[in-house]
Amino acid sequence: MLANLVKKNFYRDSVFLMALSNKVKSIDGVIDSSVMMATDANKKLLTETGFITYEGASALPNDLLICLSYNAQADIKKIMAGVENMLDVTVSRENARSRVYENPKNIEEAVELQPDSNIAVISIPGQYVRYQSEKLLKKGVNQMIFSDNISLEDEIHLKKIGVEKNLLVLGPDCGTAIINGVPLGFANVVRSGSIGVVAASGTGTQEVATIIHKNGEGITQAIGLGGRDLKKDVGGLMAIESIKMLENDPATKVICIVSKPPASEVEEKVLGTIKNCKKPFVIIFLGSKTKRNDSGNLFFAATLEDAALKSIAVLKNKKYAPKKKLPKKFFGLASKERKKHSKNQKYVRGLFSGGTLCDEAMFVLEDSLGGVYSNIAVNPDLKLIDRNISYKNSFIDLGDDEFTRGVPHPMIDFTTRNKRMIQEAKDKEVAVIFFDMVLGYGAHSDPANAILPAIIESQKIAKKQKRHITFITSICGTDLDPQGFNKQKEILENAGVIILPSNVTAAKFVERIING
Amino acid sequence: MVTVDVKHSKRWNSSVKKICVGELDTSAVSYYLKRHSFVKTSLIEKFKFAVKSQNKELFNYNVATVLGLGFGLTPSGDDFLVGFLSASHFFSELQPFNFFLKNIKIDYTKTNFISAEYLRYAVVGRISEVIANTVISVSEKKSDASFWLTNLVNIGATSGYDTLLGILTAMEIYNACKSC
Repeated sequence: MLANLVKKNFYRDSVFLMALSNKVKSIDGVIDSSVMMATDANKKLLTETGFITYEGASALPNDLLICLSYNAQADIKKIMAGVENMLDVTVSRENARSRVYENPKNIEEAVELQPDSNIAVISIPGQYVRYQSEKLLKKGVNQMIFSDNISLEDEIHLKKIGVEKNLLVLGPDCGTAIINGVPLGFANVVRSGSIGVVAASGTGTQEVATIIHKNGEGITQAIGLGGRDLKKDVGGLMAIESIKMLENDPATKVICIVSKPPASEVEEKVLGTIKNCKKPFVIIFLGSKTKRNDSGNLFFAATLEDAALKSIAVLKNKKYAPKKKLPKKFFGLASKERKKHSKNQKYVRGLFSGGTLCDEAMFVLEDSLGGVYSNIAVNPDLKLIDRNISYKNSFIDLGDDEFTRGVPHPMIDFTTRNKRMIQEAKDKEVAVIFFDMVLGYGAHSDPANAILPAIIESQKIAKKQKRHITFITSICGTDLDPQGFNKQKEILENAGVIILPSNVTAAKFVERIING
Repeated sequence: MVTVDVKHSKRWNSSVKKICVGELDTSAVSYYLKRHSFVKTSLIEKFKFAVKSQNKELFNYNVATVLGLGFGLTPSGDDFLVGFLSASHFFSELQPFNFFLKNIKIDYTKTNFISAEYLRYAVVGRISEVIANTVISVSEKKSDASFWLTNLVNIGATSGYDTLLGILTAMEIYNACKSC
């Protein structure tokens, strides 16, 4: 449900407005809110994000516009009274005082303050990364570059310096790493163990690391590379550097490589390096249809779950047979759900916050469902004409750039995904809604409760039309994550969501329901 | 009690110092721009292109796009424009800035009146002390640059930050034009 409150000719300073925006979200029943001056540009933005009502649309640039979405069960009068209370404060300068800034002003000062730190996270606008990164490299500091919008030329330049100096330059656009047990960016808390992960995929790393943890093992390091490292131009510079580091790390016994299929010459180079290593490697080139056989110290996996479980098996010197089909124990549940759907309910809609998880699910289902439409489809025939409108079986990567302009990533903010879920639930041909749920640092502090209102609303819509929609997810997280795996699982299960042990199993479960 | 009679006071408009150096060092400014702004990089790039190419229809279109955009009493887009306009006065020896200042058109009704007032001042070169000192100290590599930068970025919730982004954008255009 949406509501707009327009305060005519209402002025408060920016700090007050920013704080208000956060406070409104804490009112019981409020799902999300935005507080802005009602300028044309802002109203256009709020219209695009579906946040504006007729009342809000008629507000003028000198008016303060408070937009909120709330649970259908919530008492809007109470919410509005809460907002009015927040606005009705006396502006006082009593607590105003100048702030003391003791942060280092530049790289030199930072290195001086923390001489023992040997890794830095860089998160600044892309065009300034090269300058700061070079300074860090000169000081002998490894780095994870979270920033994007960095030219290929700069990436290659920085990585070449890294190779010369035996330093890691992870990224750009590297969102996930776990170094010596410390999660950097979006990462889970996993136990330490003997498996090292090198990955050119954020949620790919998270899925592999959490499955390793769930199955009783742990990791030494999870080294994120950024999406371009294994492409032809960069030539796997940091992949090779990371492999060498883990090969020389006595704690690492098995190394797991996660990537989309690299350029053929890069693949040859990386595999050549691996063949000269003594440690065993488990490799997943996600989405590759080339059949690769295990040989020597090289073991191949087809899915993220396989890569995690095979790494454990190799570590324990055990044989591993990949689960090609859905385990039989889920057949009964799948068939029960299928019976609840009408004949017209034929399709699945996937709503993902993790790009690699979306990719993996599509890869599993593309043949069996006769093609999956998506905003990130490589095949132009399967690319959605309008990313906002699903067609037949559609999987949406809501973390893709086109969905995150001007709004936070869907792992942090559920507004876009919740709205889309309700939209999909209204489609009478939809049988299954499949979504991912990512825990860990960087992600929403309570994702299950954040998505819950959309699930409840969707179920209501379906019930009203005498339909049943099956909600399926897998939780990419661990019991050590700040959100608490079991707590999140319980909330979703109580709402009737079926939770599978991994993304790939969830995808196979979907297949079973749709195809029978 | 002391009363101050302002009846006969005069407003002095000091002329803006024109900056003319070989190349501006943007590193100090970029250090302060760590967070993401509501004014996206892609938008800034289009803005830069329009100003550099002295295409008044294009840069006024970009001005209209950022005007009133974003959080805060003075929306981020307006703060960006204030920063850019202010810096343009210092750099107006260069033709693209001169052309920009002569041809910019702002529809002040598209933002709130407080923000519009800041923009009106910036258009005519009435620049706040902190912005002026930031531009001068950074351009001339003065030792107090970090003092002014810190002061500027700490204005409001995001205003100072967005203003600095506008200044940096102007500096980048300056460097690009100087190297042509």
